[in-house]
Amino acid sequence: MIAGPIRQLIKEFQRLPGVGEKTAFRLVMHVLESPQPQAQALADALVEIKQRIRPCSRCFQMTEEEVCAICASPKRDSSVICVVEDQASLMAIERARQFYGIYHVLGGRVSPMEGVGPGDLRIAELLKRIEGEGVKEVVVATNPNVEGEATALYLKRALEPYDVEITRIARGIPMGGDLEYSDALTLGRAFEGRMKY
Amino acid sequence: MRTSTTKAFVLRMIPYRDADMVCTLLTRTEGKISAMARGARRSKRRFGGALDYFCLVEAELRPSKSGMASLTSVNLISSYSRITEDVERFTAASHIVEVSRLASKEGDPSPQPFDLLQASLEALQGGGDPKSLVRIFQIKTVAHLGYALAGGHCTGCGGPIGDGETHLSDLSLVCSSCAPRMSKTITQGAVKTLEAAQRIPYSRMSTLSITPTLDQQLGPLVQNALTRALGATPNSLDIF
Ligand SMILES: [Zn+2]
Ligand SMILES: [Zn+2]
Repeated sequence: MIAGPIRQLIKEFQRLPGVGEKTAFRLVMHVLESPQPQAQALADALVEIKQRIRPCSRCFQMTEEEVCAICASPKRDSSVICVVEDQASLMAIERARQFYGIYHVLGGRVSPMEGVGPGDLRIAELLKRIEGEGVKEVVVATNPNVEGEATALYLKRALEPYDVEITRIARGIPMGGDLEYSDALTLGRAFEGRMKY
Repeated sequence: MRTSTTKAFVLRMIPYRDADMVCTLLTRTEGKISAMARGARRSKRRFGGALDYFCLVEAELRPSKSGMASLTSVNLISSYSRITEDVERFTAASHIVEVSRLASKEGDPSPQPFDLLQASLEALQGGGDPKSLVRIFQIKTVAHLGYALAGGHCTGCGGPIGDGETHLSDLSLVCSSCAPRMSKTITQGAVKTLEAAQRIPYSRMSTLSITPTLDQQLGPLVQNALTRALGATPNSLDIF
């Protein structure tokens, strides 16, 4: 028989994405064998994240404040909004340090197969921002895959009546990629997205 | 174990761990296969942009004794990329892929699900009417699952069905005397369309268009039959 608290923690870990029973058991054993303060720190961090983190009231990225640091920064150009699917995309773009506008986190992508329609994303919230915030350009930065492309298409359709420039990040050969190994689809898109040099 | 290559469509992709993807593939000769694409979300080299929906690929698979096969590489054969240039085509193709996943079985050597999916994507890519194509796809799928909707005779008594007397009961057509109470009648035009959709070869699916009036009758009946035949309600069903 496995002790009740162990079984309970296995069950909780298994709720995490990509964690199966074996991994959950390994994590539980790790927690059991680690010093008390370390386990306490993990528990505190879990409680704290739920109590203190919430979506930014403007861009919907996760933040401690009512308005996130990016939206609040006077150094960011608030006339350019970059629309991303999720927090992970936002963080990847921030790491690249190439974009100085602000963001809008959609909260997913259109996926009829998973029952996610355009109405399930924060598109209405985006349109409201465009009406009220003096936005000049919307950069669509959904993922370069089939569902990301379709989401971009819905966005384009929703944005067209507004007086904003709609741009799409270039798609094509990833850095570190190799023309020889690129497939026809990627190469085709790379040519479509070619720029003046 | 030896690797093998097979033509396949991606039916589903679920991110796993940091960089992997669990893929459900539809093959022509072995039905549905689940395979782990290691590093798929990081390495563009092995999978390129080809590991995605609406792409016909040559998949290299390495079976595993203990569990899920590994997808070691994919080569693009054709991409139906025009589908994502239009919202209606994209929604239709998504529904077709989802239903293909629900309707196909692992280890099934029948090529029908694969061929129907390929033909449907080709028809959408070629500019066929998305609404009609979805309906024909649904009717053909219900028939593949063993429930041919129209046969010309009552499935209750075997007799011929008179004009204006056709009822759809569960998954078959019956005459007025065999129909359960409250069942709906459908017109001869709708019956003819059902039969035509069942009969038409895959390569000519985009030549059959279903008028909005006929589709109003057929839509709810076919969707109900599809849900019953699949034993599940597709997430994308309420769009059509
Ligand atoms: Zn913000
Ligand atoms: Zn009868």
